[in-house]
Amino acid sequence: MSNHLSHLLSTNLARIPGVSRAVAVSADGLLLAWTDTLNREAAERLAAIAAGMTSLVNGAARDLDGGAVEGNITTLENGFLLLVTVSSGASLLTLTKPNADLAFVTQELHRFADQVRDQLTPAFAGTLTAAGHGPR
Amino acid sequence: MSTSTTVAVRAPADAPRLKIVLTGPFGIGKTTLVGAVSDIAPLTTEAVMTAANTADDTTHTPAKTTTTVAMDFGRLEINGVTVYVYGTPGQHRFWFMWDAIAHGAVGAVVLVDTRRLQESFRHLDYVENAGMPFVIAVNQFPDGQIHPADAIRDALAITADVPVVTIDARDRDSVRDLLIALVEHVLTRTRTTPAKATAASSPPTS
Repeated sequence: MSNHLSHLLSTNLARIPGVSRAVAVSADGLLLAWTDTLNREAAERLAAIAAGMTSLVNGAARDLDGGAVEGNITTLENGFLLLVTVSSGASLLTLTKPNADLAFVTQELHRFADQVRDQLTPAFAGTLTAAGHGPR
Repeated sequence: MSTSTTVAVRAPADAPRLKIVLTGPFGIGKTTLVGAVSDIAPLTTEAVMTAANTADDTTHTPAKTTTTVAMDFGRLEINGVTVYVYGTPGQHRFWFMWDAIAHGAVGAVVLVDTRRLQESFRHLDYVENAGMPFVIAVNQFPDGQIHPADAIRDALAITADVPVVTIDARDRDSVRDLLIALVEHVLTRTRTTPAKATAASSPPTS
């Protein structure tokens, strides 16, 4: 897991008004980065939720012939839960305040995802090899 | 965790992480298993079953009042390896989620109940078709008969190299032993059939 990417996520999001907590998640639910406003356990669960939400919404989009999923907005009593899907299948899940400018937040999240594109692609599949247990 | 606020420092390489998937029919104990073994508070997506729900058969689980509607998720450490357990939803109507849940997993646990083995056939087919290494976990219910592993292998038409482990899904140590058996099985398969094991998972990033 890249602490570097977590640091980038925290500093980038700190510049967006109304955004506090966020995780970056690979397509298969691997936690890639989380803001320093979250503890790791909560971040791991949010990563699994982001992957599950992406899967559920994709299921709806397929059945309704709606094309690829670009994002999802959930309205909460205390703000919005914003899920942005990026090209690699990775996603960013963020909590915003009720008064946040969602269009601006979405645009900034995509900009961040573009910047760190290469770091948003690792998957669980590589870890066996990385651990020295993989095929030789 | 607190990220350094001064300068980005590259952390030492993290402990290896493995994703495994847990599957089996409705009411077999997937949520219980994840709850028993997870080191962190597990993510559960249970919902109350409604009286109008006649789609799910609770013959074998008459006390069951809730059901998982999306997935289960837990995390544990085994010998320095972080293992992530993703449980599939049991009912047919959620099967469209399986591919996403299984994405990137290195291996699978297929849960069976000896009183209704046939209900696990489709779950077995799924992991076999995915080319994923798997183990069979027999969740031993109090009124279920005890059968030898070979009889269960015969009934499920699986080969002798597939581990069959009897467990109590409520018992942490029992489930840990099961997951250790799966990880060992995955490592053995990875070493002996590298081509197939690679094809079964997503291409590693270059």
